[in-house]
Amino acid sequence: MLPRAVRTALQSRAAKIGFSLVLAVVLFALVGPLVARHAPNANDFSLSREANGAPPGPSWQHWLGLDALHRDVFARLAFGARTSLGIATLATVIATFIGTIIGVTAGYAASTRVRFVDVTLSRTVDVLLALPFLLVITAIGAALGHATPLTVLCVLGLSGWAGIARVIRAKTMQVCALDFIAAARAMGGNASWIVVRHVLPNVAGVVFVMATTSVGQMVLAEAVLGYLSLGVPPPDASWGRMLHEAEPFFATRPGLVAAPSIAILITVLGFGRLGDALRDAFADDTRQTRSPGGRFPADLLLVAAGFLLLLGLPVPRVAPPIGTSSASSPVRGGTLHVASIVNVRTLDPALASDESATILGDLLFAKLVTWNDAGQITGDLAQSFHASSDGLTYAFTLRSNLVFHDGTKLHAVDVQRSLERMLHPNTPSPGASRYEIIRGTADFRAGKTQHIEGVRITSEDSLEIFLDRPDATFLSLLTLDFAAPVCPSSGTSVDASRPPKPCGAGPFRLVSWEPDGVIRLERHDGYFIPGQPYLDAVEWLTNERTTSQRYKFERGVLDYVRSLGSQDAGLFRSNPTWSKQWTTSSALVTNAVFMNTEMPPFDNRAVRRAVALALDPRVLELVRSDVRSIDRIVPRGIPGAKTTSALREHNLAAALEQMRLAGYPFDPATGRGGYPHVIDYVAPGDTFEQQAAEVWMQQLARIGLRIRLDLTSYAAYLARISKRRTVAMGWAGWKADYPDASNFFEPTLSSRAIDDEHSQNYAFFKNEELDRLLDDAAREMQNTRRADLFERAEEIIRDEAPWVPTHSPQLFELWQPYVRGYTPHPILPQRFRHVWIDEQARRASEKHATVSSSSVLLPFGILKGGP
Amino acid sequence: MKNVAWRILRRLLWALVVVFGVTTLSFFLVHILPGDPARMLLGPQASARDVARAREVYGFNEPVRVRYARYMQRLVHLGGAMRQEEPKPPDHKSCASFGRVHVDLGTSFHYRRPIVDLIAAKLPRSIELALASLAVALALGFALGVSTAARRGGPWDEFGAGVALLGLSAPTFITGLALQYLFAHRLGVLPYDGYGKTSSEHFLSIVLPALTLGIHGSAIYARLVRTELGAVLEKDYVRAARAKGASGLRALVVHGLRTALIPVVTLAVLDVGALVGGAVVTEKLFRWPGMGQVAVEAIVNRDGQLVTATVLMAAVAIVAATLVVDVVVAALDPRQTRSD
Repeated sequence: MLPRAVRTALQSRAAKIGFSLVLAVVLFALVGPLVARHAPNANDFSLSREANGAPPGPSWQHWLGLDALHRDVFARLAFGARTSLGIATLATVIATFIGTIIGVTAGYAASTRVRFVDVTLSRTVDVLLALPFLLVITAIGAALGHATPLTVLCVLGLSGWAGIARVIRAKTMQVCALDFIAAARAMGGNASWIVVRHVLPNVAGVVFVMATTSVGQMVLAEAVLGYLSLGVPPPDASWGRMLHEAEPFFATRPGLVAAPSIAILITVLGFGRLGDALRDAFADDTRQTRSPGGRFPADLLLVAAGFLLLLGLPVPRVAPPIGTSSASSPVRGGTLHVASIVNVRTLDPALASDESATILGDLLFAKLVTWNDAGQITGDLAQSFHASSDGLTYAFTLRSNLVFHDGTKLHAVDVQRSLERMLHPNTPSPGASRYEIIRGTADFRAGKTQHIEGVRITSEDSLEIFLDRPDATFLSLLTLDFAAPVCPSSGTSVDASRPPKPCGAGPFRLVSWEPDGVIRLERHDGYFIPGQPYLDAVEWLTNERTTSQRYKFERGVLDYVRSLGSQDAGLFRSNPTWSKQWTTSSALVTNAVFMNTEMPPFDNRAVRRAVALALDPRVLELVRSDVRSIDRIVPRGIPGAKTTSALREHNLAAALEQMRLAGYPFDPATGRGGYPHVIDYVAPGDTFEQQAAEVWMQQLARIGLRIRLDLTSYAAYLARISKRRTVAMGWAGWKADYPDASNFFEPTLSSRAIDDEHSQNYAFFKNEELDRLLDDAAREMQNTRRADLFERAEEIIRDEAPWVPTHSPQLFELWQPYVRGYTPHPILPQRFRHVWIDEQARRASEKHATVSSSSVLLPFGILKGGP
Repeated sequence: MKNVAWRILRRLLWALVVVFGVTTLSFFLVHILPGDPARMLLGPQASARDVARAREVYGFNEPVRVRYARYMQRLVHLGGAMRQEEPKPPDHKSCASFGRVHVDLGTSFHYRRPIVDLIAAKLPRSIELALASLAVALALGFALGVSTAARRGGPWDEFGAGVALLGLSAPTFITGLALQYLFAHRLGVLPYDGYGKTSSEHFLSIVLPALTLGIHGSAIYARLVRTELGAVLEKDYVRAARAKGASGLRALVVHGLRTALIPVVTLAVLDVGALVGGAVVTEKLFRWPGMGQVAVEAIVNRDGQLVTATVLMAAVAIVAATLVVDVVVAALDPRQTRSD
């Protein structure tokens, strides 16, 4: 039966096309890597990206152009073919095989006396289908540890069969109810004979449909595993990953999306055709096969047309700015529309620590002191404040006209109450321990006292705070949301599972908040600065993707955007009409490679130094416009930090010399020597940190350090790097809680931050001189002397190399001309307190905007942005 | 009749066992996963001391089995009837009441609200999207499947097969991005994303996500319908019907489709079951307020009770879907003996 079926199948036209397509793809996988002129993982930094930020396009040197990390797309496509085809076909075979066996067994058993077999199998399938894919995959990933092509294969094959089994069971039951099965049984045929001879040929059609459609799905599913850090480990290419990595370039370099898409499509079409032909042959092996019909393969033409269309698409231009920026004085009124990628989970100042909450917190809550536009601390609620000469006592006098959003007056006692609310033993505040320098805090947090001893009310509108020891950063701590006074109705502690509605004394009050939706703030009429704020309201859209943000911004639905994708940002940057409407600034963030000083080979200082000299973070600037390479721990923009001299420079020869000193000499010409073991580098998957690590891998290979990427979920990443003797090296990042150099050293590199289970010193770096310097700096009130101490600390980190600082993100901010009075603040991100809206400019432009979007299909006014 | 009732009861009991098993499994699974829920709540920069205190306050230090026992005790219990406008009594803060029967799924630490409230807000959106996208998928799938089956081997058949495979192998993020760019940005006829405020806005908002999911889903229906129909059309009883004078269309629809429907319905109902659990990528792309993102954030942030709750919801949906499948299959093909 089988040979004839196959013979018949191969005679049909569909099969011939299908077979040649599959053959073509397989040939490409075999021959492609041989003809590729570049290694698939090698970065070519000799070419520079285009003005709009897209990577270099096709050239004679690189036939299909370069990808996001400047790697040859053709080579990656060719090597990726082996991975993707192998995994997709094998996983399909596994899934279909198991699914068919289980499905047919269950379906056949259902109509016999051994019905319990069906019940057992069906319920097992139910359970498997009911468990969410994500949870199962995460659990399997955690159990397996390292992802390898083999584990990917198992995960896909073993997770994909349940659905197939269910469909096949239904089909089998249908077949078994037919007369010829009854006849076969009556003839005394045993079960296995009936199944093989009568049932299988009749369910084969469904099996082939499921299997052939599954091949394409599996290629994509491998990519999904990639986002969950469970796919084929980077930097190795697979088609699915290439497609995912090309997503940001959808508009600027469609060829990057097209290349893997076409490859996947041809594979899917080929297997689809082959499957159809086989199915026809099985179903009708007694009959004449149908006439070949059709003149030409329409679907192939479709693919070709799609490909040409993609390549021919012009890079979309961004819409011009709305309105013009004309000089006039601030006016009241208007709503500012802003969006963020992330969700906001809490706005309670005692609990919130993420950036969005900080930005909104600046609008909702006023603190005792805040940062002025020059980056100096100035009074906010406090009219005046001064520190005693020994640095132990701070006295504050409040303004006399302070009113909370709910209308109650704000007095010194509210400052005390709010501090005690945040430090209450039952409040799980992320920042509480920083305030333990206030005298008596430890006793209060232990529940021994009713009030904090060190916070004393001296009159209705003045108070004093006493510290245990002098601390140069204490006023900075008071600028944080944690210390913000909240309304008396907010309670004496915070029930973190049901925090009360945010209520403070800032320029805006919270009006409505849909989870995962819009947060609406309106002007607080009782704000202490008369006439301010200018805006009537701020509408903050959460959970908005960057592409959608860009679209809405072009339409004037959003008035200000930050954190656009680097490609979208590139489109605005390269467009002259927008030149006056954007700025870039350095984020107060340091990204680094940490090396665990307690684990080999990094317990050897020479190896750490070799890594520091071998890494060249400047190449990241070639790849992305939104990062800047750094050579020190404290980022630019932190007051008092020195930025003049270069601390460290990339030097391959010196790095090799350090490797020789460490006892691992490496000869780059022959590739012999170096450290004999593979080192795992830990980073959260599907992030820029992963991409940076793919570059570091190539750079460290040049000095004989072989790195393997160990990608995990963010939760697992945090849990693992903070355990002693667990992770040898990986990505470390730190974002300023408050702008002071000590905030970058003390929590990350001092020996006091070491803990067996919950260490924040990921390098487990212990240096007495550094600890002493940090102590001295905390007591030192004089700024230039503090700066000298931190410069010495930088030198220690450079020489001991527990961290190699690599890059700092560049923020790109963009706003419409009718948004006035906005200048990026040196310390606080997105400070909208003084913004006003030029309604005239906006209204004049609205006419202009409706011309392009006017449509009969728009009766609901959805796109009429603005008030 | 008694037999049928007993059969249904047994099926329901099995469903209960499956849901219970899945819930238990996920409750323990989430505690084995590496990662610290307190750390995820407080952020990467909170000090070890603050994280330790939070762990104490949130009750993460209790042994898993103690928490499991309490969870199961609270899951379904009796309490006073609660009215919507009144504040909930202190020991029933995270309950939903159905008369005197309370369901308590616990509190989401990440979303900082009772899980029953969260599900009440999100689950209807997921069901809407699942049904809308299934409608799109079936409409497209049947149109393509029936028309190609009627002219098997012709150019339209080849073209249709190509279109179907195209839809199947284009990942939703690409179709979604393209649809959003075209219909929302260039033409401006549909909203970019979100759910809208009025019912007309809701209707317009669901179009793009439903199309994105529907196009992706239609391919497999098109292929299944074509295959099944093609096979059925050559069965003797269809030929007999045609010989007796039934028109081609009548033969196709009345005699062909009915039996061809079985695998299609099986798959369709299972798809709805799975989609109710949430379509992660599409929801994210169009800011659709459904369960998919909740499920992802729950696992990513190790929000234990929320993971269990989403698994529970998905399990109920799938088990209900399989029940429906069995009933529908029996109705479509009366000759088939019921399994249990």
